[in-house]
Amino acid sequence: MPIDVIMPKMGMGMSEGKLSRWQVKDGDSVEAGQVVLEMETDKATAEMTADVDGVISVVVAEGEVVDVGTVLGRIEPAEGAVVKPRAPGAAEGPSAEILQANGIALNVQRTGEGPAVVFIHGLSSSMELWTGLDQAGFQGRTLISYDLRGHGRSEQTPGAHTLRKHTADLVALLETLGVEQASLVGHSLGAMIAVELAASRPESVRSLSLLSSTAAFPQETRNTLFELASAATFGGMEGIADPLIELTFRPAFRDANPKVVEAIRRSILSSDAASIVAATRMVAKADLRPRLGGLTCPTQVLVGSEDSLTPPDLSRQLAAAIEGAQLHELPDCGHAAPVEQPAPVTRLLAEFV
Amino acid sequence: MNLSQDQLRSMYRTMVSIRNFEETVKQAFAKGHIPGFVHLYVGEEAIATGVCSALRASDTITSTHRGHGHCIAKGCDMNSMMAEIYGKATGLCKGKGGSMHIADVGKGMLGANGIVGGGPPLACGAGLTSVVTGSGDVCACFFGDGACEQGTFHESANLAAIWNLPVIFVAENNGYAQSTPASYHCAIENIAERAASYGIPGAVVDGSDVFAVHEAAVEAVKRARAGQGPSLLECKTYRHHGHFEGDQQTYKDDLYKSVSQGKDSIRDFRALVTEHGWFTSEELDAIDREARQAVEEALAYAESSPLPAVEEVTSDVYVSYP
Amino acid sequence: MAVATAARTITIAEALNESIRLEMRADPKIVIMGEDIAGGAQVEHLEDDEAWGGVMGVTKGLVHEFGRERVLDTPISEAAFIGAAVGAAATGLRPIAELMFCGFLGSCLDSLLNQGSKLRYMFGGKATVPVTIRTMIGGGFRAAAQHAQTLYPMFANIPGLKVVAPSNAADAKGLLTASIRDDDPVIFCEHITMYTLKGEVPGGEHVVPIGKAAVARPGSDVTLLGVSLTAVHALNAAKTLAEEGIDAEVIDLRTVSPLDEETILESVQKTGRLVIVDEANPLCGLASHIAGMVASRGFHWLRAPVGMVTAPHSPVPFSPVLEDAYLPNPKKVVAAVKETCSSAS
Repeated sequence: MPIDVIMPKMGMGMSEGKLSRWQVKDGDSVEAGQVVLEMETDKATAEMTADVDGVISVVVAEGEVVDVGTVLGRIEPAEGAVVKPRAPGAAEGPSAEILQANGIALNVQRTGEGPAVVFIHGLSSSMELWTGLDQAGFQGRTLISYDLRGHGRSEQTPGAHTLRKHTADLVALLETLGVEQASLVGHSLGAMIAVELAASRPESVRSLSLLSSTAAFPQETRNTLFELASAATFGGMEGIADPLIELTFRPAFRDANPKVVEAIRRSILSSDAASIVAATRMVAKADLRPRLGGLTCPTQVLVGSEDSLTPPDLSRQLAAAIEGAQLHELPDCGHAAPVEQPAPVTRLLAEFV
Repeated sequence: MNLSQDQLRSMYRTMVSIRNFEETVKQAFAKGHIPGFVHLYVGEEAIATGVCSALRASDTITSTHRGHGHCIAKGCDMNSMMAEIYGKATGLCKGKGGSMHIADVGKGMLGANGIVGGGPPLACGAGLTSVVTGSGDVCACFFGDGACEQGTFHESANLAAIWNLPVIFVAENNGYAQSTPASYHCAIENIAERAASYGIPGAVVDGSDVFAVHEAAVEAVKRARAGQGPSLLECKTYRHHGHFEGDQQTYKDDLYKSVSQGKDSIRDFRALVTEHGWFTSEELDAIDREARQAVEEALAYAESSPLPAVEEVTSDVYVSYP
Repeated sequence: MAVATAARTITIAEALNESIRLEMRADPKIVIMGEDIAGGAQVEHLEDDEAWGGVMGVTKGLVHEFGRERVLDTPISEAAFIGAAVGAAATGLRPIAELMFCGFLGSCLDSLLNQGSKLRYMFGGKATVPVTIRTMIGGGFRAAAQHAQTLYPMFANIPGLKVVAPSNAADAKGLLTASIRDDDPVIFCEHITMYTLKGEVPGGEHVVPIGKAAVARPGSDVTLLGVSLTAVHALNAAKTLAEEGIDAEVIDLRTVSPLDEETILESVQKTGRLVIVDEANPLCGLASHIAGMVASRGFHWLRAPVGMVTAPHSPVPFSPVLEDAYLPNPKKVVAAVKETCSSAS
């Protein structure tokens, strides 16, 4: 079976890329690991390598701008050739792997050495939320991110989502990875999971970084979330992609970064509606306020000054309820802080974890 | 238990016929060949078989929305049954009733029923007919655990008791009323215990053990025929498929699924009768083949049968209506 | 953060769900009950998830938001839970009960015929019974005689009950909201084939008053009157008739009881011809009642006998060929209109 060479997605904001140059010709024999083409985005250039020994055929011509996921070429594997995993640092970045944990398949990505830092994304997002952060800032740490159940490339599970299930997923994942203690960085729903784990298994958590989150939503926001869940129940993701984006990003960011927003919109649209519905209802009902008093690990709370989904007030209340918690408000920043303000988020996290 | 070789053979044939019939209906429904909706009896075959094998031809039964098995066990013609489910003119009800109202009064099958709890009062009526005419016939009234919560069940059990009617109330407790577990909809664990409040005998039997069902039914029929009144037989059973075809069954837990998979009346019957040397596997296989062939014929018959004439819409509403 | 109030195109099922959701949010006295309206009650592995959300999925998600204390799965005990809804209404709650198919009226008739409809009157006006009974009507699903009936005339024949039957998503939401808020018992009829029908529906609060018919299409040559699915048939027939030069006015009755006689009479006064489309059985039915009312109050405006397209006087047959012959459809309406319009005057 031919192996496709596809336009990779290098970060959450990327929706298309330009095939700038083929380094091989149609019909050439290539070796696994050999650079076959160069590509560029508005932010970076990169080389792509062959995954397998074989004969390559060119599908997309040089100079064309194509959507992420477009097949650029195909390699007919040589007899007996084995598809090689991408080397770290190749165009697609650190490779993700599917691990079994808590009885389901979770998509996990791990890079670096040292004490573990686990990044937990929020509702209807995926591990790609974190791709804007500068990994160089986290030297001496093992960085782990994963897709929550029903999100990204992790397994879609039927039935209700509960914080208990999500926390059990994380516990099992840490066990599978051999991590005894980790710093947790959670965004929004991810922060709720982090709090739940820190409260139920304090020995597993070195520190908490709670981004754009709350211990419980005000009734009005709960209603909004229930509305979104119902709209997706009956109409699928289509009806809620735009409202989700409006809740997540500042208007100024949306206007300035149409391609980023478009890529996220596509990612939301490709989500499993049943999973997102179940997770949305869980988030709407969540109330972690009784858990906060028992938290003992160092905690930092980060929030965008213009976050409309979890406004700064909620983070102030959150920080006030956790003993010794630091609070940082990021100017010019909406709910998706790691996407809107990756540099200050990286700096604040790197100093803390 | 005194069962002749012929009776055993007949019981086995009934069970595999029901199983084959239902699995064939399932496939035909999935292909879009069957209109409306169907409720399948797979997993519960031993109940209809065990009870109806204790009846005589002139006895009657009332049935439920899950009625194909009762029909077959009471001797309804499978060709005409399948044709009815297909909505054809050659169907048992000329295509007017469909799966949920399939009936053959001539065979004593007083109808599948779309109304949960619709059967028990009718069974009292059949019992009354027997008493008044002195026919000595009995009526076996099949209903599910869901129907046990209908007033009609309680009222009928009491009426049958005070009038001493020859009715056998057969509760097919498959654990769910649609998606609602019996543990939620029923305040007690065993429906049969309710018999005490009507002053009639009640018994719980394993509904996947055709011998246990048959034995209990024989006893209840004997009482009824002897003028000793009604009984309540609760058969614990498992519905292998959904409430209706298309039901996602998210309400079934792993325990139910594994127990229900482990309960297979047909497999158990085979094991028992071959172990005792009453039948060889080859003999049973031959019955399997016959049953499969009969169902295939029924399917072909239904598919090739004509549709009803449009004029039939208003026929048979009354005997006469000038 | 306000809930979006912009109009969207959604299905009737979603519109009904939205009405219930918004009303339950606003009024803690509203509870909803019925067979499998959440489904899977007390099934451990479901946790707080529903198994079904109603047999047609209308009540999906309610149990998540309002919990099993207010979203109650019932045993298959229509007499008990419809009666309990009436009793709860008389004692201070504002219940919504789902009678899965209107044919199941047979299992709970006393609760509606002798209790819910009459308590207020019998008690000298000292009781109110603000209960809404949602129930499914209509054929087309090959569901046969017991599950495909159209019984609004039976309900309407009982004094004390109000009877509502919307034909589109916006009215479904607005009329259900009005029904829930109404202090009398309301039978809310939903057509089995219409749940997936889409239409533009206002977001946020939307109320359509009970007892007001809608002129769904203005016209001058003939009045077509329908309710629920037959209003849709009338609109479709009107399109065909327009191509043939007949300008039909379509009245969507929306409420069967109380009957908006004035809107009907105004239209008949204008057109002089009336064709009534009704899926219920004809004897002592809705069509015959309206024909009688018009004969009684507007005879002098009529230029032709009143046309009626109804089901025949028979149960609903199972076989698709028979059911199709049984049910009203736009073609039958067009034929009836042509006959009416060809009548001399």
